[in-house]
Amino acid sequence: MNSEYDYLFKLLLIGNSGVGKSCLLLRFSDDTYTNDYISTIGVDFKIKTVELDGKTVKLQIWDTAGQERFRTITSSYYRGSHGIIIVYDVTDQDSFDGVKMWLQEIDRYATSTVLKLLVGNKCDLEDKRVVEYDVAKEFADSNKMPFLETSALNSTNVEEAFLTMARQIKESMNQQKMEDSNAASKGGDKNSNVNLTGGQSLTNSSSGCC
Amino acid sequence: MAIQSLLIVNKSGGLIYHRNFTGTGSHEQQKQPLNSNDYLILASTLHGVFAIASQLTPKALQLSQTQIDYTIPYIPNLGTSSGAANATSSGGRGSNIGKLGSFKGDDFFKDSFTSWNKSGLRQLCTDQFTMFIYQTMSGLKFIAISSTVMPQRQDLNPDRNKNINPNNLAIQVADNFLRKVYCLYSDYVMKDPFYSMEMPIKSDLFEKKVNAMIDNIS
Amino acid sequence: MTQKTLITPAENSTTITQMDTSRSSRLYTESLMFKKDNVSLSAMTFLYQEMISYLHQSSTTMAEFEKKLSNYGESIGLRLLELLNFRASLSPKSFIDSSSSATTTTATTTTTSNITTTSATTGTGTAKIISENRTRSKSTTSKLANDTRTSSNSALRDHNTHHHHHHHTLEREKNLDVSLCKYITKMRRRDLKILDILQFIHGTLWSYLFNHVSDDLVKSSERANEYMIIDNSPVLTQFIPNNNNASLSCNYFVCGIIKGFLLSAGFPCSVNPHTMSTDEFDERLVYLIQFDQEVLEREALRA
Repeated sequence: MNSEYDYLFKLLLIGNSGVGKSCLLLRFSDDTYTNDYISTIGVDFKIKTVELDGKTVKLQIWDTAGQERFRTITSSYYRGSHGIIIVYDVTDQDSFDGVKMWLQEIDRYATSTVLKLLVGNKCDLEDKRVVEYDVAKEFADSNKMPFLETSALNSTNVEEAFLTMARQIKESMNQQKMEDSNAASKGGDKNSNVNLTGGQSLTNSSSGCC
Repeated sequence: MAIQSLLIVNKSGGLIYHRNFTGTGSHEQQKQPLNSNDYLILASTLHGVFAIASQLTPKALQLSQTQIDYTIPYIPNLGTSSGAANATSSGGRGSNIGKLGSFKGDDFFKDSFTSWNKSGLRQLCTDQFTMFIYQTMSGLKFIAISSTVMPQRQDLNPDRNKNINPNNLAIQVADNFLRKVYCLYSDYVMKDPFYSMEMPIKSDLFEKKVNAMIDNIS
Repeated sequence: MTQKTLITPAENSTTITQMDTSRSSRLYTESLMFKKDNVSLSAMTFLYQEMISYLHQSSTTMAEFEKKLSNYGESIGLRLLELLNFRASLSPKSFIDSSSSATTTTATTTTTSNITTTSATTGTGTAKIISENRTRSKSTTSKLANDTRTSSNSALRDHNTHHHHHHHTLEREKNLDVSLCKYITKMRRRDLKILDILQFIHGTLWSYLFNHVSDDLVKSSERANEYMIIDNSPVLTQFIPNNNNASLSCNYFVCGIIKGFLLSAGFPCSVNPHTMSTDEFDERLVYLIQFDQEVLEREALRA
């Protein structure tokens, strides 16, 4: 049976080229880090299985290419995503300025209910920092989205970034909230003293069918 | 045409249903080398390839779209047992084995239909398997993988007559089959109050009906 | 017969357009006469699914969910007792018989030009009652009245319009002396015995709801107060998978209908669903009816 997972959430990583989207993802999914820079072509996938409230959730993270030339393809990946993580580089002012453009992309292609998260990556490079935490925080607040600073290198906040998002998505669709808690309370005692087989048919015809 | 695998990919590229059918004649399928994550990645990659393919359709072809006939002829009783036809036509409330959900009559549909998949991938032929894709209006994709290997282009009879082209016939059979799976989906998945949209399908009834259809087809 | 109740989308759309043209709500102007109505199974199950998920989300415990769903059914059940008793009175002897065995229900429905023809077999012969849709314009009504139809036609129509003064025409006032009451020689007596009321549920109620009699009615051999109504393939819950804890509870709606029906007839009881799959019918469902002790005591006094 393939039903080894209950939920499948689609997360999307966007942001300018070279801000470390793929590294962030590599840290989260495989807990590894590479200094080599390989530009993502089109889209790449990583899958992480997490347990949330006793349910198995597969987070399928779509790592899109930041380069401009892939833009036409990536826009088609926004569709149906549950959460979008916008990444910028704290040492690169341009990448932070680009966040506005990425937000416009989200408005254009994704559903309005999609969860957003702003992530400032490479926060380990404190001496090269050009985007201050407070500035980014203020920007995130004005756009009503949570904000985190992460480091794929020393894995600061990486886990939190993804899990916060997953939990929020799970909450937004907690349809079966009461299902497990009381399924056991009923049924068992009720069925135990019921005998359905012993009995005498009261209908005239031998079978109810016509 | 033996169906080896059936996949359902939701409109955002997530794999929501996947089954391998190890029926008779597919002994090479004994060991499953791919895990569920691999299948998820494959399905999403296919989703991307599908999107790219629809952009790749040559301009010349797009301009002459009107000349292409996307009508799929109806193939009677594909995947439904012959017994089912008797049970429903007699009007009796007999066994529900051959019952076709909310669909009237002895087969799910009786007319030819137009394929909605006009610019994306419809068939993928390799020397190992053949893959057929049926896309619905809303972007849901039903994918069947058959162990039948289609003859390569150069082997084909140069005759232009479509009807004798084995590739075309296979597509028609696959489209008819996948449309019926879509019918099952509309009953046993969409009418399940505990199903959350775009999430993995876990209905045992859907499972059962799909299995019955696969059994009847091979 | 089940197939008969289902209609294709094409048929469905014509019904909808018909309803749109009617100005007033048909709910209040509808004749109480038996009329064969088709409901799309697809639409019905979609609606049911929405009802289930609404209740499921608004309940905190399973018991609460079952109670709410059952209450929905109860309100329908207690109304059905009155309606079905009334209808059963129309043709005293064989109305129940004709509807209880689904094959003999030969009612033909003509939807063309909003006229519904219902044939009900009476004890003596066949009386054809033609009820017309009340929403037509006055001119067509009078035209139809002049039509070469039986007197029962206008008689029934006048009964229909009785409570709606704004629809009255002079022509109709003249014929007021003839009414539907003419066809009721004696109101059917409410069933007083357990067996009678259960037979009524098994036959008439089930035929009204599902277009066929229930598949079996069984008396428990162990407990005197337990009876079972069996449905081989429940219509409303047929698409709900069994691999869910809550799926059995989705049947509490029909349980509620039975309970409400019995309760308003003076048979307090509890009704619970149980699965009992057989080889042939894997979704076979048993509605277990457990009457309160007072019902049995009363029954004993009567005997």
